[in-house]
Amino acid sequence: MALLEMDFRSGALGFHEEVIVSLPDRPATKPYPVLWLFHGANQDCTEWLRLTSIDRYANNRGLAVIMPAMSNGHGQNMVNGTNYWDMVNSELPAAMHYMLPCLSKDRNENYTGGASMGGYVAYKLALNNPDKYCAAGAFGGALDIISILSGTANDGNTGLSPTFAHAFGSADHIRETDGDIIWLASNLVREGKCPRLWSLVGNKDFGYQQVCGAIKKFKAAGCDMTDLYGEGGHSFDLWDKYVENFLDWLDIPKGVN
Amino acid sequence: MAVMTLRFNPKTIGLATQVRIIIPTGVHPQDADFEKIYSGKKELPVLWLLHGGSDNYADWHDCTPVQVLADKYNYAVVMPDAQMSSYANMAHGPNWRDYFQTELPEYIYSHFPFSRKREDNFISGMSMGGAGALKLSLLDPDKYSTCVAISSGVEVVRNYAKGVGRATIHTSFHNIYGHEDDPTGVLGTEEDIYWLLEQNVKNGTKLPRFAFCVGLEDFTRAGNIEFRDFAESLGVHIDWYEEHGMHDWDSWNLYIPKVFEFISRYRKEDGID
Repeated sequence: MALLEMDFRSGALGFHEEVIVSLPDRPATKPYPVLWLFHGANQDCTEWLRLTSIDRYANNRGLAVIMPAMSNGHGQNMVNGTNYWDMVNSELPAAMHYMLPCLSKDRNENYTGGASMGGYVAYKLALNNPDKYCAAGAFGGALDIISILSGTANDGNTGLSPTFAHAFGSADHIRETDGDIIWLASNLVREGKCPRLWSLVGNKDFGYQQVCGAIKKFKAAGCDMTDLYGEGGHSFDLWDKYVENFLDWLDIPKGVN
Repeated sequence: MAVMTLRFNPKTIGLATQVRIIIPTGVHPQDADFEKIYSGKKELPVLWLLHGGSDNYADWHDCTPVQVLADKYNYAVVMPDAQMSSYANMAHGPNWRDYFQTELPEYIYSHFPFSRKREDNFISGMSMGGAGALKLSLLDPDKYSTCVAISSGVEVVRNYAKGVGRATIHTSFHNIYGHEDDPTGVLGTEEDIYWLLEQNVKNGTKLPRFAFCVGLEDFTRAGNIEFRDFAESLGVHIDWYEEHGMHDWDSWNLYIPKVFEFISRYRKEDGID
């Protein structure tokens, strides 16, 4: 597999955006399917590469993986901070599809995924662009964002942590906006356009109750929701074991190499 | 402006290798309509910029303002690695020449938004990379419209054949050129720039535009003058630019803007821009 370590000057952020791209070895005669894969809070664009074997799994499936740096932005145009939503929603795909014409633009070959904060970003991106992404997956995802922001998610937090406060402001600020992913999903189900959803959470994850609550709501909304539960905490010790499961679920044809 | 390092495993060399790539994007802070900015873009002209002996893929980027120039002229820059190979199919080592002629350009064109047109492809390099740029442009004159050779080791193959100069003291040159029993065997091969030029002239091939840059105190200067005179004797013109200076980054920082100036001037003269 080929690896691209890149950065580009981002207009949305006002500074450079760092991205790691894993490209499969097979010739680019047919465009590569693309997984847009997001790291968690307090991590960077190297997290997935260092803590999993995503590079190898993706190569076996002829899949390109784009791993952008998201800082602690939660994929938001932050209330106090930087416009990560404009970056991930608009600038990143435009820049990547321009600079790497080998990437597929087909909705059915573009998927999102992420860990923790990145799981929320993955859902948010796919649910705001159901015409561009067909599926989203979350590993220990911060999915029930309204409950988290309200302090009612049973995740050990009763108040709003500073990083959530800077990114989201408050629950009221997010409710029924492009950040309210459960609300978005229920709207898309009604329109018959909701991307398929996948979730994994560990039984010792501090966010276990929060994820279970979110799953219940996505299912109640009628989403095509695959929910998995593993033995472990909020950690790649668990998530790493399910990466291939997630890629299998995406239904990318194997053996294109 | 985007900067990237590509790490991949080309079959022709059988090695993991690296390429530094600069893509001018024209995006500035406070830009907002990204889909419009990116969707209207054409395939970029591309400068293939080759490093010298003992250097690597990062040195041009690390030691000169090439990124600023790429942005200014709106050319992509591709800076591959070649280890200590003289861009040759090594007698005792990987087939770097094959990599540079086939697998590298094919990989780059099929993954990045770069033009394959001859008028949009330029090659340059310094020292070992200057000779490499000359060699590759003479091997594929239909693929490059301009070759700017800087402080080039054009004399290396001839010296190796004669058993004189620096080419004889370095074991790396034996690994590259072989023919240990009779070093003259390297003459008249794809490694011999003089011979390649002669063949091109004999066949009436359309050649790239050539420019040489070399310092007045550079040890490669005499070799460069000799090659230029040889080329002129065959009716091939080589533009010339010189400054005081030696075989070092002080000089190459003077010449890298000239590379872009030569390319830009030729494109204007040829009605491309």
